[in-house]
Amino acid sequence: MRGVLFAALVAGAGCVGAIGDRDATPPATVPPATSGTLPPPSTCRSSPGPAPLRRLTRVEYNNTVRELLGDGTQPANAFVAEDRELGFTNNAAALGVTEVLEEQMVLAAEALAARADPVRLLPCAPARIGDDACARLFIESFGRRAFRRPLDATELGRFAQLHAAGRQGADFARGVRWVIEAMLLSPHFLYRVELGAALTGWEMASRLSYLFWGSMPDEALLVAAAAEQLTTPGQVAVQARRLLADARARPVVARFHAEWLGLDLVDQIEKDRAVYKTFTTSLRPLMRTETERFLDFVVWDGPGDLATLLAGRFSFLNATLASFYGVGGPAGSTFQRTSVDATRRAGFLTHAGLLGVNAKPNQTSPVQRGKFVQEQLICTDLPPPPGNVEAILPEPSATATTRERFSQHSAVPACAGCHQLMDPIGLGFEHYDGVGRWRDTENGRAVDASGVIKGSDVDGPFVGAVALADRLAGSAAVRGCVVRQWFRFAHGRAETAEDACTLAKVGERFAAAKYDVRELLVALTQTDAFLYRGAR
Amino acid sequence: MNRRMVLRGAGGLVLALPWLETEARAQTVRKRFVTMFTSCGTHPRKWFPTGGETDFQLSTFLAPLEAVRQDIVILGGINMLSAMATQPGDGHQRAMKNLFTAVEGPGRIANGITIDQQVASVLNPPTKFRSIELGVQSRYNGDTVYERISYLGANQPLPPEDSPAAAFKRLFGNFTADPTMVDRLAVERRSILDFVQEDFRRLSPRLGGDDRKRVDAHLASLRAVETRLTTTTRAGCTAPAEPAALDHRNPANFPLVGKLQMDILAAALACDLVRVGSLMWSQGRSLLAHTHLGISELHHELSHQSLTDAAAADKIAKINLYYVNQFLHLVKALKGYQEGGGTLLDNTVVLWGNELGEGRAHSHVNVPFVLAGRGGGAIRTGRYLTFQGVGHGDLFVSLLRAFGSNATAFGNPAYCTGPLAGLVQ
Repeated sequence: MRGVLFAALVAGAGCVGAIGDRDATPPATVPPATSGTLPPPSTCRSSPGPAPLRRLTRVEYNNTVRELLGDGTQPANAFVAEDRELGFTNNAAALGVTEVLEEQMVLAAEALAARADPVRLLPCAPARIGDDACARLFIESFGRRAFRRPLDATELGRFAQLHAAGRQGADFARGVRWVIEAMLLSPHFLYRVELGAALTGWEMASRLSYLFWGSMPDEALLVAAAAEQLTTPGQVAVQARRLLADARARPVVARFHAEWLGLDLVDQIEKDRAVYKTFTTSLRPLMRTETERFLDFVVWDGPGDLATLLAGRFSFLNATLASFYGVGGPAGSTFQRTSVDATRRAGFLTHAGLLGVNAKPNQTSPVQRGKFVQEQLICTDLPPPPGNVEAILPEPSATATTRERFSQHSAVPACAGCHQLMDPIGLGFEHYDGVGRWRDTENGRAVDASGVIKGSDVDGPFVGAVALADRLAGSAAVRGCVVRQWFRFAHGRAETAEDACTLAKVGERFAAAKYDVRELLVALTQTDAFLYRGAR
Repeated sequence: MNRRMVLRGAGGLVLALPWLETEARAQTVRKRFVTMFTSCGTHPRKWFPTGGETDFQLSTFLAPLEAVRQDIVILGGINMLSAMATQPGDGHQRAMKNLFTAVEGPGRIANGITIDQQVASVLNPPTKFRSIELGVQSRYNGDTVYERISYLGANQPLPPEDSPAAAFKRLFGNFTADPTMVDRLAVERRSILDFVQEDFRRLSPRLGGDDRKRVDAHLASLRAVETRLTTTTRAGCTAPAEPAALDHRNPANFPLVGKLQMDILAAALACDLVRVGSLMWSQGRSLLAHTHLGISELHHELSHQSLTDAAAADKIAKINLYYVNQFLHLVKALKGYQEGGGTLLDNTVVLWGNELGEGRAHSHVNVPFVLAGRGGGAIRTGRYLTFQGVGHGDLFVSLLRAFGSNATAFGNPAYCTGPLAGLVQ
């Protein structure tokens, strides 16, 4: 039967033709509202929250060895890819080290140490001041950068011994290689180790550099750490602004956007070519570029505010992508800022890449599109479908519209609880087909793009995704959700009840800055969670 | 001419050289275990045979296995009881947590050790690798629960290697290296890795609970890797051909990558580099379009349409048949290595599982498990065994017994009644 989907089958009730799980959970009700809206600051209690030990991600490893050794070979690209938690690849709890990864790190450390240039790294000439003295100077200077803090006396002694063992029967350079290799495999390099209740200046330097650059502190940060000038919130803010103004901050923000919005999936869009005849895999990188260029421009070269990200009436296109959309645009393959039809396109929500990802190979998906808005933009925690439902996707029809085919969700009580949060938002995107092109009709009938938002502070009916984007751009839930998403990315963990003050404070500063994302980033460094470290 | 992998010894016993001579002299069979995973369930009516235990008639989907019917056991009526317990996750996710662990869990990912890793613990083999995890486009977007079938324990997933080139290099990489260089490198590695271990041991006591656990697990990995990387014993066998460069993520290469991974796995088992392995095809709730079969819809979407739509049912049949043929390839690859009086397959058990029974309904009952190989004589093959809805933990108990354990339960004991009747001798 074509029109039925997610038909609830109560196990044991003798439903015909399907085997349901016996763990029939009761029909889902509306999930508890956990949308992004932040708590008011007056109600929170000051606390730094948990601070789990964080291992360098692959990107951070690559950046760090480039800075430390001048090695741009990106060796961590060969490492096991990170698991995602809450969408992000830098969640501390998911960054365990398996044997496979350890083996990859050992081989990478060997290769990096073998390629390292002693001339660049040695602060002295062994022939002039003696092997032992020069080895010690090298261990001190290189160790301070590799461990992002000065080595203590015990460590200096141990590495001096390792150097001596390495040069035995060989030469000074082999001792240097051994020291580099051992440091690259040490937990003090691979993890951002923080010991003790109070953060040291060195630990703060790493917090700042990995937040803004995804890399080790530069010399200015290390000098500030040594001079104890990373102590007050004001000093931290000054450094935060300096790091944010550097080009190295751009890839970090781009990575946040890619993980938050799931842009990696654009690289894997696959469509039924019989249905979407103009789709080719060569469009994937163009779709991704459009969204990346747009987000990048708004944050760094544009107004920088959330409302423009969500609802800006311009985009970045080249000739091929413009012709795919069926709109006018720049000639040639270079992407250029292009204004769009303000009644049809607004912000990243209406980009072909995200619309294509959040759709099926042969049709749109109001469920996926609504789920994306709820989970990523409103931070609603949607439970999975209950165990007793039979998920049957309604097949495309030559006569019925998508809206008609998906109507079952609201008719079946077991589904309606959650789907009333998703489908009515997703149906507002019906003017965009499964690859994100505008359509006025579906099966010869005029598209009805009316939708309803539920579970936020801007609930109510709307017509079309442009109106939705404008509505979301003014939503406290969306603003709070963006703060939460940045918090998760910045701290490598989910927010907890203890983080109420931190979130509230960031939210206040974000509001004061008219929702400028750059100010949100600075605000992230002015919180309990960033400035302090809880007792274990 | 290359030295062959095995030499025929006195009394017809096949010896692997050089490090297993003592063991071989004691006439110990080197038992191997492989788990294989494919996704999105099946059409039970087209999957399960008809007829009795030994005179069964293979169904449409399993028909290609006629060629090896004497080497397999088809299991019917096994339920994933633990997946039906109340726990977070949709039908696929709960199944992925439970498929090889047989224990439900409160989190997003599996809450216990998987059967392959438990077998590795039982065997505790003197091989270079404790286990090897391979995948065929198993990575989609890094959502762990769908992309792992092997866990060392609760929340300790082991990632599959999707690249045949990387898998080959890891397993056979030093086969072509100069032995003097290998020895010198081993000395260096031992010095450096011992030093690094000391760094970990000094740091660990200064850390709090979870952090310390994480660093200690890292240290355990380091120790294992040190042992492996400083072992200079060369395997007395010939490496398979090094795979040609290819984009292992391109769906068009899916069949080629699969074949390479199976051949690498079989060769590694034959060389006794490892005795436990797993092979993960695509992901749980597979979001792969099998374009190599001329199918542009995602496997997952098709699995939910296929009983109502003849065209979708045909495509699901194509995908099922494709995977049955891959299982056949793996079985034949293992059968291709002579060992003892028989073949490598005789000493191996391959367990093929799927996260769902009937895919459309997210069913966790009548899950299509198939075994191949006799496990060194522990399992009598050539049979179709049917059960009345026993938990899949019982299957794992049987397998543990086939590997010499006296286990009475695996996973959540609440769902275990003991070994499956009649499977293991």
